[in-house]
Order: sequence, then C-alpha cells, then structure tokens
Amino acid sequence: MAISTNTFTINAGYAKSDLLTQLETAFTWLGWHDKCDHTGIVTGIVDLGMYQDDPLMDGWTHYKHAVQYTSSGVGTDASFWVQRNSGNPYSVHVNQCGYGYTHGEYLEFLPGEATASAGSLGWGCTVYTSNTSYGTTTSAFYDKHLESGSTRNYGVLKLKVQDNKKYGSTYRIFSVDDTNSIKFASGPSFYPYYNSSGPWTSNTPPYKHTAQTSGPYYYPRISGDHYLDCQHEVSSQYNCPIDNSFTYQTDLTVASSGSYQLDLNVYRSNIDPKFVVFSYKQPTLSSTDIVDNTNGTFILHNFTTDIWDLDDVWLGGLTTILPDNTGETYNPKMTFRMYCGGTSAPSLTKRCAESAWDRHNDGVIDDYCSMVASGADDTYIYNYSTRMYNRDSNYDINQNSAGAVKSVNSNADYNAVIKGLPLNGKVLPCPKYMPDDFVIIDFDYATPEANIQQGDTITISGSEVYTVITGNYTRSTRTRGLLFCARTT
Amino acid sequence: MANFTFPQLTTAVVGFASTIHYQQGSDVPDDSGFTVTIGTRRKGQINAVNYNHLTGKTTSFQRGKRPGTGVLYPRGGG
Repeated sequence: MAISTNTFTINAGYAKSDLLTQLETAFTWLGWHDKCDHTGIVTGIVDLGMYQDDPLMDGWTHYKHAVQYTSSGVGTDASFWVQRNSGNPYSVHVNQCGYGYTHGEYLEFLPGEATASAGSLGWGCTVYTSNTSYGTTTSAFYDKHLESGSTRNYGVLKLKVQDNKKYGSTYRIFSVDDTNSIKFASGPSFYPYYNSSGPWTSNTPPYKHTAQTSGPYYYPRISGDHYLDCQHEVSSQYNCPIDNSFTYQTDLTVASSGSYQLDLNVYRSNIDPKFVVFSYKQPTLSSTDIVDNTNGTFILHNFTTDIWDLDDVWLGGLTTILPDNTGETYNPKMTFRMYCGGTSAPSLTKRCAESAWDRHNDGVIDDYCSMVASGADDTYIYNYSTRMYNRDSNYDINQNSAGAVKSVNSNADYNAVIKGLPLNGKVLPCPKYMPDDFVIIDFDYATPEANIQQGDTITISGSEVYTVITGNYTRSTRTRGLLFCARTT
Repeated sequence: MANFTFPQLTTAVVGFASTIHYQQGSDVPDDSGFTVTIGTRRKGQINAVNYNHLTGKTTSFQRGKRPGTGVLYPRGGG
C-alpha cells in the first residue's frame, strides 16, 4: 500500500518557464499527458456566413456556442460565437477550435444554433485552419508558451479523466508571471492558437486571426459554452492565460524566492494511482519550521464518481492543502480548500461539475485543527474547524491545584493516525475520499523546537511508516500540531 | 531525513467512513422463516406465538385465555 514518489528539481536562479517545465516533467512521469494529435484547428472563417437570421429579429442577438450539424470534411468539436444585429451577421468568433478540419471546409448549422430557432434557414461558414498539431506526445504539454520576456508563460495539460465521455478530458492551465507562484485554471476545451488576435468586429474579410505581439490578448483561451464551460465571453481577455486579466482558480505560492533550488515532490497513491499529491519545497532554504520552506501543496482532481456523469458535466477542480494559524499563539490548522468552478472573479463564476457547491464563490474551506497544541488543552478553537480526537490524561485533569489532582483514566488516551480523509469535509455527498495511504497525524512531541520537515518519516511500527508532506505545528514548549503524510511502508 | 517516533501515536483508523450508522432495512428483523396464519405471525415452534416481535415481550397465554373469536390474535383475556 506504499505510495510511489518522485522529486523534480530546478536549480537556484531558475526562470519562470522552468516552473512549467518542472510540472511538465512531473506529468510525464505520471503519464498524464494525453496524446491526442489535434491537427487542423479552426482559426477563422472566410466570411460571416450566408444567411440572414430569418425571421428578422430586433436588436442584438448572441449565439454563443453554435455547433455544426454537418461538415464537408471530417472536422469535429468546433463552435462559434455569432453576433447578429437586427438579424444580420455582425461578427463571428471562433469559440472552440475543434480539430481535424481542412482549409475551405464548409460547415452547416441547424436553425437555433446560429440563427433563430423557428422560421430561419440556419447558417453556414467556410473555415480557415492551422496545420500545427497539439497533443502529439505523452511527454509534453498539449500547448505551452515559454519565454524569458515579460509576457506570461503558460502550459496546458490535457488530462483524460474518463474514456468515451463527452467531457472525459479536462484542460488544466498553469499560468506563470513570476518565479514564486503559479495560477491554476481549467476548462473542458482549450483554444491553443498563440500569437493570434481577436475579436472580430469588422465586416471586412478575411475574418482570421493575425499575429499579435502585445496585449491585451484574447487567444489562446479556455473555450466552450459561456457560463457552462467557461466563465467569460469569447471577446474577453479573462480566459486568456497570457493576458494580465486572466482569471484563475487560485494563485498558489510555490516558492519564497527563485534564488533557491525548488523541488516538486510528487506522491502517488498505489491504491488509487490517479490520486496524486504535489508539494513544493526549497530544501536549501534555511528553516526552523516546515512552513519556512515547504510551500504550495495541491491535488488536481482526477476521479469519477456516482454523483455526476462526465457526459453531462466536466471535472475541473483542485484542492490545496496549506497551513493556517502558523504562529505560536493558536492551535495549528491545516486548510483543505477545494476550488470548484470558482476563480479570482467569483462574481462571474458559473461552471459545471463540482460547481454545485461553489457556483458563486472561490473555494470551499475545510479546516482541521490540532487539539493538543499551543501549550494548553483548553485553548479556544474556532467552532467551525474539524477537530482531531486526541485524548491525553496528562492534559485531561481536574485543575485542582490545591488538592488531589485527578485525571481522566489513561485507558481513554487516544491518538490515532487518521485515514479515510474526505477530499473536502464541507461538501455532501463527498465526491471523493482520499485513498488510505494519505493521512493526518495530530502529534505531541515532548522535545521543543523540533524542525519536522517534508520528507522526514514518522514511524508507528515496523510495518507502518509515513513520510511528511506538509504540516503546521507549534514549537515553544513542546512540538505539537498536525502533519499531512503519505504512507511509505 | 530525520525519523520521528511519537510514543502515544497509534495505528491508522478511518476518520470519516467508519462511524456507526444505521441503514434502513438492516435494522428490521429478519422476516425469513416466519409463517403467517390468519393474522398471527410466529417463528419456530407453536409456542413462539407468545413472543411479540414488536415489543420484545413474551406473554403467557395459558389454556382458556386465548380468544375464541376476533381478528387480532393474540390479544390476551380469557
């Protein structure tokens, strides 16, 4: 039941692009790059289409995710955002780029897709395409842009969650604009065409992306149906990972400074090999506490559940595991925060899978609180924290300083390693429980000022050994707190 | 890397899925083996009719006290 683990190191003085290469290599080790060979993506259309929107409609009308009915070729999955004014085509943007298209391929759309549902003739367009291929190897991102300039870098992982499902793949976007943090986002589809401009508001052909060397950027972008698959309009910068307005699920701190070696430690369950915990550590950065040099720890959701079907919705969340209350005054906490559809612009959030818990917020927080730390067992603990059952007769006394001091019978002492952890204890039904080789340990160590680091081991017995991933503890009189660990033996 | 052993720490227990909970159906007494005769349910030998499965009580209905007529059996009296 032991986990598999690997460490991916970048040296001191690394560049922001190295953060992405490090992730890319880790995903290669996990076998998570889906080789899909997407060639022939749609990059534009020859004209705005041949049909008026009959019957004539007043004002502006938007068809945000028009999907083809038939094609003269074999292309699939492209969609278009069609804007009409008084029924006439005004602008068309490529929404999903699809794949498998050829130059000059003609697409037809049923009434209701890009025209009125009743009484219209439907719509049609002829497409331009790119011959660049994406997702051609199991050892590289689906798409990426790495450079040393000021433009943000990004990498896109096409992760297959489940075969033969409409939303079986999730595109996970990692956007980097400094060496200390990574912005996480996701979508059910991704338009990878870099160096392209948009949107089109002109009626002058050709309606085609052209090279763009400065912002604002609109492409590449998370794509799909507005508010179902992606949160922003096709003409918005918010879905573009190289634009400064890119909205993301979380901006995770992974390092204190690029001046130190950065390790990405990957812990893979052998019970459920799709369950993986990632954690960053700067091993050469001096520390007296794990919080000094262990940074972002996260889980990319990669599971199926009976709660939903990936033919209907898509899986886009992640969970971060971070220390909270890191001072000596409070009982240490570990925060498990599940980001569902939420982003840094929660008011614009409407998404699919997982978002039922989080349609208009930016993460469901589940705190675990140590019960024996901070020097007193009676320390007030915030009433919304999940507590660990940890009973110690040394602490459970009657506080009778003048007379006989009695305690709870030591038979009641209890301090077990806790497994069977929910991915998040604040959502019901919980869509995923962590496999049993990931645990929380609420510990009380008599030696003060201990520096328990990521990678240290906790031995329960010869057949039960854990490695520390992250944690939070106090150190002043004893060393006490919580550790999130993986079982190695 | 350092190795730590915390003396009071014990083997892993399931934190969230092992709490005792009741499932409808599993709490209902096993009905297999019951026979039903004219409104009276019994299991096992004929004397077992004195056991009330709903209250868990056994009532002695001696000869002469069993009802001669009626639809609810047993109901005591004589």
